[in-house]
Amino acid sequence: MTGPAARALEIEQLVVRYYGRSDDALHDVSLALEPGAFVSVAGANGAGKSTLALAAAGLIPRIVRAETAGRVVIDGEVALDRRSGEGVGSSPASAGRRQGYRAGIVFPNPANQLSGTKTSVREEIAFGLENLGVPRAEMDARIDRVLRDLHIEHLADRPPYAISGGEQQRVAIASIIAMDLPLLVLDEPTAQLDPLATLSVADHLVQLAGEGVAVLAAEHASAVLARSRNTLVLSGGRTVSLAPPGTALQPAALAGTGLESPTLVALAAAAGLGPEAAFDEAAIAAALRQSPSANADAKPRPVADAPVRAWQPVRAQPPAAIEVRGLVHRYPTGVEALRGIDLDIPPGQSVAIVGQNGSGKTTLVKHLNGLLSPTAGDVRVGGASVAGVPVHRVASTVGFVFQNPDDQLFSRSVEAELHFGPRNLRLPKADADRLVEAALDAIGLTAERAANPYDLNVSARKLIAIGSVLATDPAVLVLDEPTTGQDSPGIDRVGAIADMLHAAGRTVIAISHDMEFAARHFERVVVMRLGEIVADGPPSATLSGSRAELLASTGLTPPPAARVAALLGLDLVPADAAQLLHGLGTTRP
Amino acid sequence: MSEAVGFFRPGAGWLHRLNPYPKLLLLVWGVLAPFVLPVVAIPFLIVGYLAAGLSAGLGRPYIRAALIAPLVVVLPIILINGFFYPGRNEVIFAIGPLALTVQGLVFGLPIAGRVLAAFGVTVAVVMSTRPDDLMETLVQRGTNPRLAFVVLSAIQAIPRMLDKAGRILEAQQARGLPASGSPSARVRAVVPLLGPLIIGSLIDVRERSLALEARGFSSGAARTAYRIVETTPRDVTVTRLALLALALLPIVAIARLTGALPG
Repeated sequence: MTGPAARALEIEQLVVRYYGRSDDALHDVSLALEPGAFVSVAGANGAGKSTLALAAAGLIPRIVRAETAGRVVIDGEVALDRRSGEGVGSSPASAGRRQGYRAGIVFPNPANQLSGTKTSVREEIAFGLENLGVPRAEMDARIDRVLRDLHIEHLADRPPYAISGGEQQRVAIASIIAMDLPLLVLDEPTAQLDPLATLSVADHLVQLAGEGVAVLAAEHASAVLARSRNTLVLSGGRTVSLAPPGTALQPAALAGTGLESPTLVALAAAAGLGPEAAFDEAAIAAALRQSPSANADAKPRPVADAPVRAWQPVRAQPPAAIEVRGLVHRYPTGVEALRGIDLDIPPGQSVAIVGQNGSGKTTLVKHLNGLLSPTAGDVRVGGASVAGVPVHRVASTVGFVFQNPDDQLFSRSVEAELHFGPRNLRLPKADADRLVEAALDAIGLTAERAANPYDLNVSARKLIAIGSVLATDPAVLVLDEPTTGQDSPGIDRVGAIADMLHAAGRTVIAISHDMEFAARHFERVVVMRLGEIVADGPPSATLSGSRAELLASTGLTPPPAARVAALLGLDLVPADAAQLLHGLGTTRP
Repeated sequence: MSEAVGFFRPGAGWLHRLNPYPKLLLLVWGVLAPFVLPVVAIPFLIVGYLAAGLSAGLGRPYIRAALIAPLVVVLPIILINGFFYPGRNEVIFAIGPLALTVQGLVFGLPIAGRVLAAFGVTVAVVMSTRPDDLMETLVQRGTNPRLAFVVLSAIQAIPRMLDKAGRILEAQQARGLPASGSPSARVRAVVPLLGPLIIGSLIDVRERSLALEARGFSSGAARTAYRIVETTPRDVTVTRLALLALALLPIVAIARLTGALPG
């Protein structure tokens, strides 16, 4: 049976407009998923991906109130039926009163997806099964299967709140998958995962689709996009294209969407390959080897696309070398997160710290401003030990941007939020004003200076959090996962800020799971595994294809262009397609 | 299970092994008893709760939570009554216009003792009871699963909120906010600390409600249970004793009100 009733999801001319907004979050979007389909959704932040995910899971307008039009049918059950002829309506009168739990949805924020009442991961996964009335006898088999499929058996007996964010996210995904629903919707499920965990989730989605589950995944990660059968590209709430990812994500197809083509797709296009080979690294390498002419005119991509002016330091910060000696940190739970770290960072260096979820990256950087005290060892900044110095005093030298902006923003306007740091440091008003203006310019939100931060999306809020620390003009800027949840323009903006501060002689340290970001914007990469540093050096030495095995041991992969370079036998770590093509051009006779 | 979750501390002592239902009954008795029994019983109750907590292997964290943490509440009760009890009183000592009086202490100390005793039993039960066991027990005893979840979730929200408050404090200190020191500095820190806590909690509530929906919380299906909480003969005995003790409390209360029982 191939009619509409057999479809896992059918969306017809869907319009969604949130209350108080003058523009549609989704406008006239149509989509159908047969059982076993795997469709990814790409788009810049604000393109409507999350709204589509909520609607596809039957949560709009039943739970999330909005004005709607169009029709949504999930596995044969009507979730919304307001055809365009009936106008946009706010009452879900004709919507399915309660979905028969035909669709599961995974959200980006792991902590808020946990039940909050369970004391082990195994029981957390069982929570959804209990609610659906699954017989007790069936539960263990289902739980064991998802634990195995997502490679999280080792977490089974751990309390969900005591594991890392990346691990929590895999538990959240496992919890929904275990419910065995015909439609699985995922909204940026891999935002907090390291590259290998992302690959593992992507592979599992393929497996689920193979078993007949329809999968709809809104994602930025190219690993997930590549494995989908079709990609829906959204821009401004409207459909741009729906085609296989190799076609939908071509550079020409993304024009005007604010999105960048994934590196492999751009390389395949440059090598003259068809869309079917857009993510095939071996085919791309072979094609590039045979068509050197494709690279002749390649120019290296500018270091930063985002227009950011040079940073003019206002405060006369003395050089602040960072010296970490024999650093051990043991949490009260007994977990030894750092096992004897030695690290020297000279003033003005830009350093990316990479490693799998739970490898100790955040624990390490929290010692740089005294948020954590060493169990053993010493941390010195600018020659002085940080131990015992109040955090707010160290903040004058070491600026620290947390991963979640909502843990710090409270002011009524973007501008007021940016004044918070300089006011705490008691900077003269003229200096504070100059720094705030420069920071607003750097984060690209000068026009939104009067806006309430919470009226902006989470991507903008992350930039505001960065700007609020930037406005203190720190000698050392520490960024914890600054690219999480950012689209390609957002990542470029963050990278440009890092480059700008580095060019001004400040030290920039960033924790990241994004290997392209690390290779492109940082002169040094520190690789961590289980609380130890296992590699340290320039990207060319740490992220090359020859280090793939070492990187894999800590959940990482070389950047896609570096993997292709390795297949070509090149000793390069290009961060993106343009750098590889340029490298090819210069290394060939 | 080897890690703490919320206020619960893993262990294998007798209190940990006791079924949550009799523990809940003992908790109700333990909170009511200090306010019903004569004053003379209060020291015995406090010592008894502490002995029970320690014999159950709750250790130093229990002493901290049951004896030291409540001082924030207990000390003001003693001091306010001790210094400001109305009327002409027998002065123990005076600091300027402030005088600590016998009558004030006689009035304040029993109240403080009652609060301390109630804390002692509550902490012992909370630290020795897995939240999900409590929820399952309530459901097995006929409580609506949704109601049980909401109650449990509210209890578990306290450590979650404390955790979030800790993260916010870290984030604001990292932006140069002095969160300690002079009273004026502490006052200035209130908005930057409470603002994100309130706004973030509202965002969390929205996200958590969506996530609960995604986990079938309102599916309407007859709920099943993964975790089976067993009831041993000992649990039955303790339940009966606790019910008996609870039944005696109104009798004691009436006896005290009618003057049949002094204190």
